[in-house]
Amino acid sequence: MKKTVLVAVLAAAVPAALPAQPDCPAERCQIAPYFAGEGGFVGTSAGLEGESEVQFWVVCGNVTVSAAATPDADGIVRQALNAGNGFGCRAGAQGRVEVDNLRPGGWYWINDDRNSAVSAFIPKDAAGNEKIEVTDPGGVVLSREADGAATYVKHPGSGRVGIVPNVVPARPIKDCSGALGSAAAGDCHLGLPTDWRLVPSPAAVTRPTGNSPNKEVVVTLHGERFITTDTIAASTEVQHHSDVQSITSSDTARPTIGSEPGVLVWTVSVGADDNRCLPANNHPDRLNPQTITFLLDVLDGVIPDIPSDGVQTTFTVNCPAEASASRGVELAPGNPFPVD
Amino acid sequence: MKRFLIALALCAAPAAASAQTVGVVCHACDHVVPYFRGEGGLIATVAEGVEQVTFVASCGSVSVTGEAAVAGDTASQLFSYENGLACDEEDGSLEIAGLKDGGWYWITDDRNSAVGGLVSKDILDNETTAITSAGAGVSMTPGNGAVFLKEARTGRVGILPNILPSPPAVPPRKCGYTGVTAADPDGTPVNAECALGDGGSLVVATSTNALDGATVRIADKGVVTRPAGNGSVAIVADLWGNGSGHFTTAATGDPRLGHPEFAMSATDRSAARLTGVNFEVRLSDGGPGPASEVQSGSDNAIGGVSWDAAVSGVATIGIAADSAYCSETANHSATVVVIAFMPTESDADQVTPSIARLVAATGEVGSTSFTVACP
Repeated sequence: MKKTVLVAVLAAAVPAALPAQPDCPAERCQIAPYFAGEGGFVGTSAGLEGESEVQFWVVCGNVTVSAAATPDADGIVRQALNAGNGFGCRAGAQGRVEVDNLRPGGWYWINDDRNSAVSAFIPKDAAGNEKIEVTDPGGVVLSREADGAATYVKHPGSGRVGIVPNVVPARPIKDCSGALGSAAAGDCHLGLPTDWRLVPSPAAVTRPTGNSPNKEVVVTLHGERFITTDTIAASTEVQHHSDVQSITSSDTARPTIGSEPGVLVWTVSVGADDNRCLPANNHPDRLNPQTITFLLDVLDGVIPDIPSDGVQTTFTVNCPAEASASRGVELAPGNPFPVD
Repeated sequence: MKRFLIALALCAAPAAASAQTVGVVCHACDHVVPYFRGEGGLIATVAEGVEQVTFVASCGSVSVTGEAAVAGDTASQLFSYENGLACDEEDGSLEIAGLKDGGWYWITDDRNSAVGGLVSKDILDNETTAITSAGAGVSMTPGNGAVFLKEARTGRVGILPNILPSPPAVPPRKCGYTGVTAADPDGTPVNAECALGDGGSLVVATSTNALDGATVRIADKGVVTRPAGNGSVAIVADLWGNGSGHFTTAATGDPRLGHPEFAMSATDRSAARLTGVNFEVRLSDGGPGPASEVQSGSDNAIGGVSWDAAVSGVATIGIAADSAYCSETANHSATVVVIAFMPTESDADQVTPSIARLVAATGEVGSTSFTVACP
């Protein structure tokens, strides 16, 4: 401990004066929201502005005491607050402790006659958040500063003590989902049109050759933070260059099932294009991939809507590599010695 | 305490039982004991409208469900070896349904006790804060929303929350409308990247200031002074969203629809109020007459209170002198209750989220009341 500054406002002499207020900057100050008697705190120096020391203020009624504490080699600050070092609160006084340059995660304790109470430091600028009422079941003593952020609970019979926060973490706003009118579709956070996205799988496909079965690309519509207002209906287009052959899409989407990700699924069928892909035809673009665009231009029954220019994705279609293409076409299965 | 024991027999299914958590999930539970081990108890305030506070205590492969004792609005529950709820396993949990925030609990250790707050289940996915280690002499055992501290030398123990409050964040904008100007009185709906409300509605009642003609809102449970002589007070009541965030889905597409700030606007009110709304006006007892429904029409006044439904979606209420209530020999106040109904279910869909119909059979959506006091 380096320095101690005692600031006492004598209530009797200056009855209208306010208690001396700590000068702990709200945006970087951690506070012990209720303090009385003796105890201490532990925390890690934040090392702000290259300073390892932490400055602390103990507020007890109208008296504020300030000092600096030096961390150990690991940056840990341990500071006792008691009558012996002048940082305890006199009997009957209560207040709080404020610490500058301390990382979140610090904590403090208050020693009572038979037990100790422990609680966490909270950010000073959270101390003004909405307060909750701590349950008073009767038979316990609840102590709290006016508009304080924590309540000291003592059960005189057992000597049990605790510090119960009056400021609690905010509940996150849930993301919207489900059908209009359902619980999940109210009191929630609605997403953006740009949250809608299409994902092709696979993103690149090799055409079959000859009479081999068509290949499939599954395009799945994913959405986040949306609600449904009706049965979802969609309209899509498959767009490609005029020389692209044998690409067909399922007319209607199917809804995803169970734990299957996404909202709607389309199947795009990729057939053979022997004119382009057979090496024997020497098509000049045989080795160049063809880009297929899948466009969702209408999506009804959901909020938010899709963007005005729709949602699109692309995948590529390739001809088979030469060796594999040759096997199926130029070698007749079952006849290893073609005669032609 | 009523309770039910659900035990997975380890001998019957040893492989499964030792590896899985207990299969009792408490979807209704709203609060948890953030570190649950050993003996102790909890105290909390019962949430409004809740009659039973139930809990699920899980310990190892055993779950126990039961009802906490409720006295007045305070719920309490011990967990002890005697009642079978104490837990000696590391992964014990105790979840409770039907509580307000502000409850707390204690754990009785061998030499000392620790007290901590009950934690809302809604915040358990919030970021946790790493608690500073005080060194080897203080053990720290993580729970679910708290850390249990124990100083070996003194036996002092504590329950330290590790999901902490944050400075107030800027809330997302509410769904609604934007850009209402003189040139574009309707503006544009805000229906993306916004907070959607709960579908609640409110009945807004207004009168007109006799001096400056300004529209004056009559607060719910507010007071209106009964005029004397031949004077009268006209009150307009209509239905609006509760301001929690909604946007129009009506065929008119008017983004102002249901936004209560337009209730005070002489130019926008008629276009912006919710439609498909009927009203019932009642006069409570306490005056010289019994409680009764006031039928619409100027000839049906009761206690100087009349109303009409000439404008769709509006109850226009008139307050006039009535010597039975206010005279040299009488001084009775009268409470007027205005109840709004949206009888056609599809009308609730004129905004999103749909207006919550509190009573499906009648379509009741909300009410307001005011007291008519003598001058």
